[in-house]
Amino acid sequence: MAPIVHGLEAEYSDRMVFSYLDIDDPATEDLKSQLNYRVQPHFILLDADGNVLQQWVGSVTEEDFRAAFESGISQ
Amino acid sequence: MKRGMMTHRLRPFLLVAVLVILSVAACSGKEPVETPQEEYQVQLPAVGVVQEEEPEEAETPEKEEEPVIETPVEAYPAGEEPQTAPQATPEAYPATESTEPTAPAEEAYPAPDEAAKPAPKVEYVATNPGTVNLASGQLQLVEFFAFW
Repeated sequence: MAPIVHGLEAEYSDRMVFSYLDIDDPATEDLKSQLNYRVQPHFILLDADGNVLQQWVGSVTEEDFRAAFESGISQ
Repeated sequence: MKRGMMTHRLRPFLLVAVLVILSVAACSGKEPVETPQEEYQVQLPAVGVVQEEEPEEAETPEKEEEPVIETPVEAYPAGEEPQTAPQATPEAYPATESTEPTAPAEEAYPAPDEAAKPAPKVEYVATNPGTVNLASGQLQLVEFFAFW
C-alpha cells in the first residue's frame, strides 16, 4: 500500500494532510482509541474538522482513494 | 644328440632372455600380460628351435594396437575448399518500415511541470503522533500501519 498512498500524497499534498501512525508506537494509543483503530492497514479519511468521512481496512485501490479524496476536497 | 646338446646349452640363456623381456614389459606403462604370457607358455618347450623369433613376436602386439589417427583433412570432402564466412552487407539486412521512431521526439522528454513533481516515497516514515491534529483544517488521511 505504501507506493499507492505515497504516490497520492505527492499528488494531493497541497490540498490534504497525510499522517502515518505506527501501531507499535505507544504514543499512538490515544489516536487509536479516538479513531477506533481495528487492524492494520487501517485508513481513515477525515474532514477539516476531524470528522470521519470514510475508512478502509485492508487493501485499497488507488481509484477508491482518489474518488474519496476528490469527493472530500469538493465538499 | 647334437640337437639335444644345443638345446641344453641354450636353455639358460633363453630363460634369462625371457625374464629380461618380462621385466622390461613389467616396467613399461603398458600391460603385457594379455597375449604375451600365453605365447610364452606355449612356446617355452620349443625354445631351442625358435630362439630368435620370441622377441619379435613379443613386440608385434604393440605395433598392432597403435590407434589410427584420423587427420582433419578428411573432414572436408576432397576437391572442395572450405568456405569463408559471409560478410555482412547492407543488402543482407533490408530496411523495414519500423526503423522510423513511432513516437515523436517531443514526447520523449517530459514537460517541465511533470518533471518538477516529487518522486513518490517507497518506504514508510512514521509521523510523530504528537504532531497529529485530527481537526487540521484540511482533508486528512490517517493510516495506521506496521513496519513488520
